Amino acid sequence: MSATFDVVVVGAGPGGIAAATVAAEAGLRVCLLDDNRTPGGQIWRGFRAETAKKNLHGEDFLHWTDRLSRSKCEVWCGWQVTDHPSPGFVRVEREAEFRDIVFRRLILATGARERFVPFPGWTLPGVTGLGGLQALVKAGLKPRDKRIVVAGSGPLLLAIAANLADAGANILAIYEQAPLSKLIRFGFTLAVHPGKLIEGAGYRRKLGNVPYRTGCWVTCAEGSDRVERVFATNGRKQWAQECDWLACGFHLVPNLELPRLFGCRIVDGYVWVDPLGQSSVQNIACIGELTGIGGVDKALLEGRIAGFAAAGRESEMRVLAPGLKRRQAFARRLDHAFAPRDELRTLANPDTLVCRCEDVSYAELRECDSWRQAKLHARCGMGACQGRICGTATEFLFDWKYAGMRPPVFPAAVSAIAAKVDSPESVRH
Amino acid sequence: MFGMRETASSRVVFRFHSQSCINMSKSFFINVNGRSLQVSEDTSVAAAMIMAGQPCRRSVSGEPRSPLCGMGICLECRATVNGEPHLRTCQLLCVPNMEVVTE
Repeated sequence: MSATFDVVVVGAGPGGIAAATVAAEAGLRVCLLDDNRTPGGQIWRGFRAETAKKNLHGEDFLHWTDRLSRSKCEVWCGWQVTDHPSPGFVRVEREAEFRDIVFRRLILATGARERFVPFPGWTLPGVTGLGGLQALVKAGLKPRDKRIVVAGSGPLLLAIAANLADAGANILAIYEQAPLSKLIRFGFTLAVHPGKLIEGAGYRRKLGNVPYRTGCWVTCAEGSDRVERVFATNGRKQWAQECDWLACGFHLVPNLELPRLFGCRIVDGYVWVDPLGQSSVQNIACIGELTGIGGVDKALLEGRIAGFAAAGRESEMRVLAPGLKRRQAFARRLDHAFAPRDELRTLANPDTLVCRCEDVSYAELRECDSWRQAKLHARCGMGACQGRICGTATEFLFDWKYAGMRPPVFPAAVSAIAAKVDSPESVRH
Repeated sequence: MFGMRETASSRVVFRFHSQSCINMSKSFFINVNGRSLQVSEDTSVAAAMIMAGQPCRRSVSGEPRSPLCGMGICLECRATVNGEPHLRTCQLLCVPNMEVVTE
């Protein structure tokens, strides 16, 4: 079964919503796809109209979701892109049902995931990602009175700790691995983005006297069936801390699976785009975190530009384009300030699992000299997540090039993999 | 040809609106590994399993595992729901009388 659209947008976060809305408002037939059950992506996850105003990003959320619902854009939630069976097609799946969608133009807005660095005990229940715990809390997990250590790296540390504290969690400490000197330099460059500085100060106020310690990181988590304590260090001494949950993630990395599947050029870990957001593939634009981890403002701007580009509205694009450079420069500065330190490469023990799907240990991987060899010899990255977690980890640990994946880009029903594509002639326009 | 799709997608848009209007969240019971658990509406199955103190799955070497990424990437939250195996429970909402089993 197929459907035809002028524009297909993959990812209903802020960037995808802005792109789809602007294109639909210009009169194009637009389909906005997301594998989550509701639009919003990560930053707007769980937002609701009546409570959004309290949130820092609430106004943008209200503005864009209102415009999206007034537009004629079709929103398909719960649909996962699994394949690109022939040019101009995407194959999507939901609950073992699949469809092929024909597009003239594709806008990829697949966002980012957390970078995880393996350490002893990171597979214990109770150890989650940082954004991971936030997403779970937004999905109904109750953190009240739980003793939580928040660790890793990135601007999300403060924001997420503040949200957890707001929900009644007992935040024991926040450990930012980046050294203070780097953060101070980054703080100075923030002078050109005063909004971000104010945002940070607001989170800090909410957290009262929770220690925010820079240049510190978690070295190990322990417990029998779940995490009971963690060990942290500042590089000179180590200390233990009893806790119920450890939320730990090291900044973000873009979800490049789909740009790679469609053959978009990747440079230095991000999709290459021209000054107007166009990727190296003629009818594909990539926006948001795919072009640099820069957050919601950058995603909205790039989304609007991509929407206007799809509609051929050159003049609007050119008005917005000058803002892009500044946002992209901000993204690169974030990457630099929160780059994981070398010591994190030495946390894993020989028996620490690096690939969580196939339970492949650090010792087994040390015998390999490339991602390909690790896949063939140790089954690293051959499990259900297809290397999304361990591929990023081994890029950091061993400097391997994680070559991406083959379709299906997510585990899919055999019927959806084997099905033939409807020929374009059979697709009714 | 597009009727079914249009129904499905308009339902999604409607749901998006109706969610914004709900203030009171209802609660109901689901079953996690044979034990009854009360959850509020809009709770993901992954969050429910954590609150029940149950792992989502056992790894190939037998370790208990719980959600890591919370956003559908890591697949550590796979569990069997109403008899259907390998579902990403972080992307799935609880509904009354759901049967969830660690796999």
